[in-house]
Amino acid sequence: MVERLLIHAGAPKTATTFIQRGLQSNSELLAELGVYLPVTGRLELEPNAVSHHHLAWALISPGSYRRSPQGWPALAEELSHVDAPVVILSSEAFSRVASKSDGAALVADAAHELCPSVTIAYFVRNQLSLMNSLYGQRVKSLRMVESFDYHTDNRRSRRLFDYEALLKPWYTDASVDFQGVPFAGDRDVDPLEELLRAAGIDLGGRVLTHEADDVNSSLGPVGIEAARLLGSYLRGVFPDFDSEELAAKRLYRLSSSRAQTNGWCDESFWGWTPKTAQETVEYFSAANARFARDVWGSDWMLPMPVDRETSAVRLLDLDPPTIERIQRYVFSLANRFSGLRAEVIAS
Amino acid sequence: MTQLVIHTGMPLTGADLVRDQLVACREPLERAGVVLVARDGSKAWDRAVRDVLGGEVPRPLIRLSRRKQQEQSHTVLLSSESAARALVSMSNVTALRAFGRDHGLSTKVVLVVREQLELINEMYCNQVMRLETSASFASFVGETVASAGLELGDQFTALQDSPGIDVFAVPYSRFDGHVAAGVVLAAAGLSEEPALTSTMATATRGSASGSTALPGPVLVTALRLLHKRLTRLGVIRRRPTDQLLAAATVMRERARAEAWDDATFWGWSEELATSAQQHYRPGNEVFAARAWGTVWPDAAPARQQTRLDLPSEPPSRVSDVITMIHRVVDELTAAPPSSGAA
Repeated sequence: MVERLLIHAGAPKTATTFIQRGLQSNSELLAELGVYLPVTGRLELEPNAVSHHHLAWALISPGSYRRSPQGWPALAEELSHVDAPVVILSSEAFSRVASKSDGAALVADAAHELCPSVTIAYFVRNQLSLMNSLYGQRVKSLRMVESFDYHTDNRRSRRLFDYEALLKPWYTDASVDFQGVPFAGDRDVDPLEELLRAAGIDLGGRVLTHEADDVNSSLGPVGIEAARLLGSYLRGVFPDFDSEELAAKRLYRLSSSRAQTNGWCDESFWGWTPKTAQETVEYFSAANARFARDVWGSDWMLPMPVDRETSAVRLLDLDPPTIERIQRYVFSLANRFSGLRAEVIAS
Repeated sequence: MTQLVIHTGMPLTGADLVRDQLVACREPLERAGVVLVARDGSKAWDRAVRDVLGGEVPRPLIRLSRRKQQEQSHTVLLSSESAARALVSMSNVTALRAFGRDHGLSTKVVLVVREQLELINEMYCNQVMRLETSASFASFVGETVASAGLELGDQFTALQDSPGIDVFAVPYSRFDGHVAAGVVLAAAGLSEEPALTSTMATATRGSASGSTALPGPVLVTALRLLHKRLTRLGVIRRRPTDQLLAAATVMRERARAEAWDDATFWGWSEELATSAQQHYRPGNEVFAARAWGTVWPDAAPARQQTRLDLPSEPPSRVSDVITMIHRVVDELTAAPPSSGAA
């Protein structure tokens, strides 16, 4: 009989991949502690990670999952044979569900169908780093080609970045135990350990193990410009290009790996200027204060890196050798994309 | 008394256009008593200026002065952009004055001057269009301002202060809506009528510079990227100028055919423009006070910077630009180096 359901709901860019891979690599240890990691709803593309994206997507597009073996009824069926006291679901896509109108209630309701005791853990990161990191991820995964300023100007008002608006339906829901975990990105802190601690799961002195994170390196300033140019070029050459298609997802892995080989992940990208950073901090200040008061019973505790020096480049300002490498990167990957599409069709 | 009129000016002040218009109305000018020193292109005119400043009478001038003395013609006209560069030097100004005195010529200089912000913007575009630079506009401005070559106050002090030489300054903006050669003639106190009669003058009336239109920001970006790639591949160093110009022309034609741009390039940010204006304004005012007894007549243009972020452009344009650069690079690297290669 499942006694408690823990949903790790995000946020994106708060070491979620690291946590999900950690869940997988520590599944035996967790099982010994009475934690069960459902098979239903896991993303097939990430076999080494416990990421229940399908369950989140099923809440966004229930029609597509009506008879799916990856949906909530299938999960209920799986859990009916489980007698571990704690079940963990992990997907940052739950934050996407929550960011939609009445989406947070959908998550809570679906969870309560399975188990009366629901804990939702959410890693809270300062918005400057979060937006910066999300931008890098979107560029890297070929979903976005616009400039950082465009991205932040157009997305700042999204609910994902307003923790009060996003998470209030959960932290004011008496039937949900909400845990807002401050995420500082500190390398000395194991985020999986943080998650388990927040959920009250005692490791009993046992040590978690983690695989090397070889795919998820963030792009540096040059890598950002190269990937933006690649994304734009692909859309020009293949007008039906869709970053969600399988060939594009495979290309993303190739391009990330190539960027890393080129040394374009060695530096960190930071698109804010002190001025734009300050404006953004002021924009979120009141909502952050209310969120912190309600959830932590304290002032907002995450430092805002307002004075961090901008670390971004413009394509045209790069030196000739780098421009040449970018051109080769764009051309070779665009050529590879044709092949990947053919492979996907063939398979 | 025969007078010598030298038309000159700052860079990009329509010198070629003025000269071409003058040559086109040579006969009406001669009928009006104005003789052009040289018949062909700019090199001959520049040579004539060098001769004058070197104390030598240019051969055409000898012939003319003999003939025209008999005909009692009064004006010999020289047009040379390079004269302006020479006449910033006190020794050259002295030489010109001596030349006039020795040959009994009254000497006039018509100097076309231009507001620097537009001028620098056009200079930058020209360098990019000739594949001479891939530098950013800001860095080009930094170098240009530091070189002090466009500062009016200091540049022409010797010329303006020289006794025996009358200097008539013409703001470049005065060419707008007028026949440039006519403006130059009128500035020297001559009749502009001969210049107004030529068909070329009619065709170019209202075109201030007479140069090709300025490029747009996408073309500038494409040419800068091309320059960087060619630099990396050693092509810029190895290939002769004509091949590089041909490559730039291919890009320019593609830009026109595919309508890459719907605006012309303007590199000045508000901050950079303010700083440059503060730099040039005192000299301009000094020059204007001396030349016209007024304040500097041309306001700096208040245009918005054409910022371009290539990856944010429409994808079809991005892919076209990148593909074209690739094609041009391929052709240049595959082509055999011509005998003119450095």
